Amino acid sequence: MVDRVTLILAGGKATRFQIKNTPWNDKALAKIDGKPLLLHVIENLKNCVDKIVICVNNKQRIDLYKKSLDNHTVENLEFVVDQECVRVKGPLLAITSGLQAVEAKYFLVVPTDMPFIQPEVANYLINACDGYEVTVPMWPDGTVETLFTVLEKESCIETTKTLCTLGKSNADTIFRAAAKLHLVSPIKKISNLDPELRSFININSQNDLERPKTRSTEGAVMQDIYFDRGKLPIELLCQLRAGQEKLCEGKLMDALTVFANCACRFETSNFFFWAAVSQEKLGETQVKLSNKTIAKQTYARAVYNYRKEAEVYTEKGCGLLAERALADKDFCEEKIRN
Amino acid sequence: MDREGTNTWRYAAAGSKIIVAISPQEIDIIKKTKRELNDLDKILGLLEKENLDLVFIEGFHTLIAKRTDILKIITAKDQTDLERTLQGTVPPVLAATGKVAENVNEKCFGEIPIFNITKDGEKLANLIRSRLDGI
Repeated sequence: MVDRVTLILAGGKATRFQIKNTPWNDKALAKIDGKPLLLHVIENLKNCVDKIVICVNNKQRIDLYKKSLDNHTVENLEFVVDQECVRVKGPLLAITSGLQAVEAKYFLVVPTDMPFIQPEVANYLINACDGYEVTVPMWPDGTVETLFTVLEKESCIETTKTLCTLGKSNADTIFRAAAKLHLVSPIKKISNLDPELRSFININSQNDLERPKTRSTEGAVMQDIYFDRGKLPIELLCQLRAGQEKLCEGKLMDALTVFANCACRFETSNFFFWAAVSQEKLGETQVKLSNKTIAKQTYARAVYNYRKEAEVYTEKGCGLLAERALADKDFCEEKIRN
Repeated sequence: MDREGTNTWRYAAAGSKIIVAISPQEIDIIKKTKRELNDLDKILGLLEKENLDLVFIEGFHTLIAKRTDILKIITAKDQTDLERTLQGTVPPVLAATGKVAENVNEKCFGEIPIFNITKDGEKLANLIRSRLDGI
């Protein structure tokens, strides 16, 4: 098994990159200094990792990219097509598919539209994942570089699989789901390696090709933030997935038992995110069973857990993660009102 | 639960698995067991033929907490204690009671009504009755 792999996410629709009334543009193949963005990413990272994996959403893109890379020798390159999944699409599915298809300990996930990543920065991030399940840069204003992250396979394969099965489609749920999370401040050591922080430049629009924009460093959080929520009970994640299957098959009483057990155990071990998710699923099952009063109480428990989760993030200045937890809380409150 | 020296105790000490004590007012069945304490369904199964409308189960928090088919009434000292007990207890929770009723101003904690049992015992009894009506 190799140690380090890069997953390049190249399966997006690049909506903001498109020009009105012209055929669809594949952003991965857009050029800066005469070279496609995809090739920039590959060349920047090929010496930091043992293998490069390009994640795409359809097979046609493989041929396209192979052709584009034709004149360049890239060793240890592999393509992974998104798995079939009815509930989730986008980066979370690409990451889950990549994690399952390739054997390695650490996965550096990068989007195809970050052409200036410096290898030293990538190396720093990978090393910062030692002892953690997930490492991701967080800016002083609490926003997170969701798609520039390092994942430790053994735990993340279980969390991402579960998130996909349950239809939690937002890619930053990976950070909320992890037991051991390291949020790296780009302002500290990374700015010594890359003083202008060009590694974090994203090409979103056509204008960005001409004038790439660096990220704002305004905000209050200047330190790395660490979360250690203990050991994630993997068997409960398996149970959650099994519960979802039961729910889909209409075996509601079985689903009820499974979700109740997960909710109970995640709550007593203070895994607020997973407790909330379990309660939400339990609430969904109670609705299907027409137990309206119990469903309301159950969604209220989900609200409680999402609120607790948000409090933890707010306290440490993790604005985006708190925002996501509160959005889920609002969703459950809406369920109670209806 | 049996007392040392009684006739039932002596039968049990001699190895009887089930001892039945009969008087004109009551029948006591003592079943000797080591394992069944963890199997609530098995215990409830003993009552199956009794045609009961309602069974009160006192204690057994860990067995009951994750059951969605058992209505819970939580006793708590104060709001923190209530919150702690609710953590890891899946709905339905019918009510909360105990000292918490004296220590909080609100009559509800979220969706859960709080009853002062000395003043409003009848109200809690009515709430329980109302849940039996549909059965």
